[in-house]
Amino acid sequence: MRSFFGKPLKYKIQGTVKYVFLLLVSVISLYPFVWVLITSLKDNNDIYGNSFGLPRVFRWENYSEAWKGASAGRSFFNSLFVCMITLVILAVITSMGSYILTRVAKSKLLSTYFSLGLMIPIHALLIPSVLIFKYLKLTDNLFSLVLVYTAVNISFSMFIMNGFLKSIPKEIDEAATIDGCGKARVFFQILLPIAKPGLATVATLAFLNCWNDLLLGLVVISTPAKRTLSVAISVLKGSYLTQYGLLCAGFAISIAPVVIMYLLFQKQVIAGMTAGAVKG
Amino acid sequence: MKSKINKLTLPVLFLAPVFLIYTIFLFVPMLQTGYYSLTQWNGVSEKVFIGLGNYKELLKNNDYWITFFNTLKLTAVSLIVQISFGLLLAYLLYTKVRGMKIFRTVFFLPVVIAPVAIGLMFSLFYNSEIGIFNKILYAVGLDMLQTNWLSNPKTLLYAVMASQVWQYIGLYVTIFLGALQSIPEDLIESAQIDGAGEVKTFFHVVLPQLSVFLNICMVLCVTGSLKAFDHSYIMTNGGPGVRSAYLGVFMYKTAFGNSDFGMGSAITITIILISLTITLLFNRFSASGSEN
Repeated sequence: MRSFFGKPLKYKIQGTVKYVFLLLVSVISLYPFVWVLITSLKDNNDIYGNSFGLPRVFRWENYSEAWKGASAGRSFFNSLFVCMITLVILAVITSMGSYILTRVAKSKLLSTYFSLGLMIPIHALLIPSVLIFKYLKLTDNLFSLVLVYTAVNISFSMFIMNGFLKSIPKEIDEAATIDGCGKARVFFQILLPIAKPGLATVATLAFLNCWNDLLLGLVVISTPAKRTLSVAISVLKGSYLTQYGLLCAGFAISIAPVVIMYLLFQKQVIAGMTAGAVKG
Repeated sequence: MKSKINKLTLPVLFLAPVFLIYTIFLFVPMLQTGYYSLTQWNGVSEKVFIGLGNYKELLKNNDYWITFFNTLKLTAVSLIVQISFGLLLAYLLYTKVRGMKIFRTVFFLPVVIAPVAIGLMFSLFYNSEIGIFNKILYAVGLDMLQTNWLSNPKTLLYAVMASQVWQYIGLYVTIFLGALQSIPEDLIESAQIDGAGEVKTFFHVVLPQLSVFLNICMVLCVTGSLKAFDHSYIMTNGGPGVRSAYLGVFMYKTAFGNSDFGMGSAITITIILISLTITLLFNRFSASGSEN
């Protein structure tokens, strides 16, 4: 009797409770962003008097003002420039290195050496980086940022690429070698195209790491015009003390690329962040 | 002879770029930090070797202990809140909820956003003029709880922590969800056929399977907390004084605010040592746990 009437009802209630709870957590995860987006289109009167409603008048100017006035636009392109160059360099050099370490000359010692970086917090690099760049006459230079960002992303990139290259059967390169392909050609024309998903994971994760970094940007760059977006955001708070609409617009501009990237490459983002996590 | 040289050319050429950049900009700096921590140095004058002097001074430094305990509190709160919520939400999603992928996408979203942006967002929520926390409390009739979150000394540190703890719950949900999906389904089915309820199945069948991932997540919580910087830096700049600063913020202020590079390096080394010790302890603990 009980199993006939009781159970389905019990499961139904359980299921509803579960659902309501999950929806509640979703609201807690999403609503903060929604609130900031709505606020970014309000004027101050509206923000003070009408915290939760939609804007009475849509102030799109907040965005153009934040873009120009707070030089969010400038920093946006600085960040984009640094991130793009970093991930291209990173993808090229780590896949070449990983090819040697997994296929040509396996070395346990070198693999361990490259994994050391997974345990080192960025803090350990701050002071020496400043001094190295002073010595190289690269102080306050965006290219310096490219170099450190590349360095701090090498460990996890090698880790992901190693795993990926190992999963490609050896027979493929053997067949190519028999056909007369040199090692370099095997790598560039045969393995690299197969390894694209691995490269995509490396590139996505490296982009997120660079885009979201604050500390290195803060320490390596000093000229306002060369600031990365994260640093610009941290300054924004001070300069737009009470212009909340502008502040929110700046926030929205800064997170937009990452959110778009996340929605487009969700698989790579999650694979990368949890793979890095599982090893980190 | 010639062919031997040719054989070496490619590996060297291919490995050189990654090896050089890694060594020059990551490995050597790390060693340098270790050395600087043994000197008295402001970055300009000559370095003076003082052995463990910086460390001895740190032990007597009040601010160091305040930030140390702040970091410890963050670690504890992260462990408790992130692991339990991560596990709970992952399990709810795992039990075949419709729209599982959408929920996962939503929960993970904050993880990918810059911590400095999240910090900025939370400081707006706490804002005394426009902040919505107080307004929500008022709306649900809890107005006696309203306060100035970032200046009330009782709430300050926890308000700063909340932003970081909230941001990364999704990471743990995703890791645990992946782990749950790797458990063979018949294991769970057979437990349920034997009459075990959902709660019982979870604690007796599912949880033991997750021990490796629990350990990984705990280590992540600890290392993440010890590296914490951005949220505190943007919300309060660690202040007043160092009341809401973590070790990472204290290190930054010491090295780049006071130009005390020697002391700053010493703080960094303690961060690395604490994080390595706790990680090793966790691994040891979980290794002996799985033997039993």
